[in-house]
Amino acid sequence: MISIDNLAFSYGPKEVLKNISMNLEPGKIYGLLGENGVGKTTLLTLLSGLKKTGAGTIRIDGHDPYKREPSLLEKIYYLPDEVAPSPERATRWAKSKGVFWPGFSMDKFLGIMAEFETDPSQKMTTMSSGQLKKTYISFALACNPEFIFMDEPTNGLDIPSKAQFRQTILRHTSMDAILVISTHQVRDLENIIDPIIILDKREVLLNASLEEISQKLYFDYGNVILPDSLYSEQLPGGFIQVVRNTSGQESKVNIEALFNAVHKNKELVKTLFSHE
Amino acid sequence: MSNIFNLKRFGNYFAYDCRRTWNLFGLILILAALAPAVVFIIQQLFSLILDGHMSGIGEGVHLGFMVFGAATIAMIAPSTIYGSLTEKRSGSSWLMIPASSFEKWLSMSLVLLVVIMAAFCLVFFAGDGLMSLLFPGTYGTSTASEISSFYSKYLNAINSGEIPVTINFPGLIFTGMAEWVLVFAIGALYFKRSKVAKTILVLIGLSIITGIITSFIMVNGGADFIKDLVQRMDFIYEPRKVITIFNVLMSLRTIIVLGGLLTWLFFRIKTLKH
Repeated sequence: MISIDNLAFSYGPKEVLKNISMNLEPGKIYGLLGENGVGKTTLLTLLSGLKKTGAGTIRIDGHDPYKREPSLLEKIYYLPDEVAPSPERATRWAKSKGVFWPGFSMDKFLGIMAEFETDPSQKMTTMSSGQLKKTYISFALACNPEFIFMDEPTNGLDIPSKAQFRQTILRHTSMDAILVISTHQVRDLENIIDPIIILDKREVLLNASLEEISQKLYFDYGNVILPDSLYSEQLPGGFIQVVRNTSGQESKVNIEALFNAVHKNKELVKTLFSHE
Repeated sequence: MSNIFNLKRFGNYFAYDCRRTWNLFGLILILAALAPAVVFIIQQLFSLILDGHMSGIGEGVHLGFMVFGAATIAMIAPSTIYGSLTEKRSGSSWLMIPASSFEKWLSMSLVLLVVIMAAFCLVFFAGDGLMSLLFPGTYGTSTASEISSFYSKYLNAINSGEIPVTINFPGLIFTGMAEWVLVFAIGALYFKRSKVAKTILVLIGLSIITGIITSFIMVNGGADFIKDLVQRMDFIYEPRKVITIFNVLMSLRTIIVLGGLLTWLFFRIKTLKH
């Protein structure tokens, strides 16, 4: 369980996060969405204990991540958007680093590397950025951590690898893990992230499951413009429109349309999804 | 399991740190330690080509190589091995390794103060000794013999005076090198770029400031105060006391400086952010 309570963080005088409060529950893959510079990476680094909170608290299983206690670090894996190559073969690197995570499985690492069609005997310094990212993703999942924080994990992956990534996440993440994935590429993760967290400048606009979203918002894929749509976008052969779901109809959530609808109707969405 | 120190976890981390050191710095260390042998071979090749015979290298050159090599290693090892920790990519990955800040600090200190120095000495003396055995005429005596003759020539002369003075030469060199390494390690964990150059500039700046302050104090009555103090304490007539006090002061200075640098390094590791 992750509890964030009145979290605030600033870079000097520039306030990035303010009064952020939420609870993240086990067994869920959270999609962390937001425009550039709203603090997605900052929030992930705060969760990982790489930064100290300005105000408020973060508790992961009751522990402050900034204390960087080994007993908590063993349960966490943070994958930054850019990863560094180590001057050795991927197998050697994984073997020497894996000893620190009690749940690490070399077989699992090699299995995921095979699924990604990446050669584990290749030197990491000779890998492309996509291969390097896949090596790190394989390692992160092979560590079997309870908390995985991924920053833009699909950046640098080719199209087949993005599909492979979705399958791998679903197949290899343990049932009680909390996964937080920050991304701009919502289509890459459309079928795996649930709940959705949308960050705006200094606040959380939305933190809801897909079920709750589809209960409160209706995604219309027809070709007639709806007068009360919160957001509409022309697609080949019709429109994608987001309206308030007043009739209880079911629809497939389009995350990109949701993101735009939330940004155009911030106050309305906050009220609509308010749990108070 | 303790969150501060666990022997098994520290063992794993130290082994990981040593492997990382070998990957990043092994070749540079070997090259620096074998510098006299490499230079000798190149010199002989040129000598054979140009003059048709082998020529010797001068007395004391080996020792010079050792001092220069060790000083260079002390300057560049911290930034080469740990410099990337200030970068977001490598630094965040390193901070997330499940080992305590204390274990990471202890391992870093052992690697820089013991492992690197011991490996340098081992490779240097092995290479140097071998060259001395293979080419006794041209390579000359080994550095170990040079150091031994230095001991008998100068230190024994000091010892044979009216009051015997024992100088812990290896200890002095080790503490000097340790201070040097730790200063550059702190520089490597603060500066993002040009770590060695910026650390040297800071040291120069500090020397200038210290020099100005000392001169100011000495000009404004400091010299007279010391002179007066020496006369009052009658040091001149009791050389044994002078030596004892000097030893105590030097030991205190070493403990304070080394302890201060190690503490600083620990807190830098503990508060590193990305």
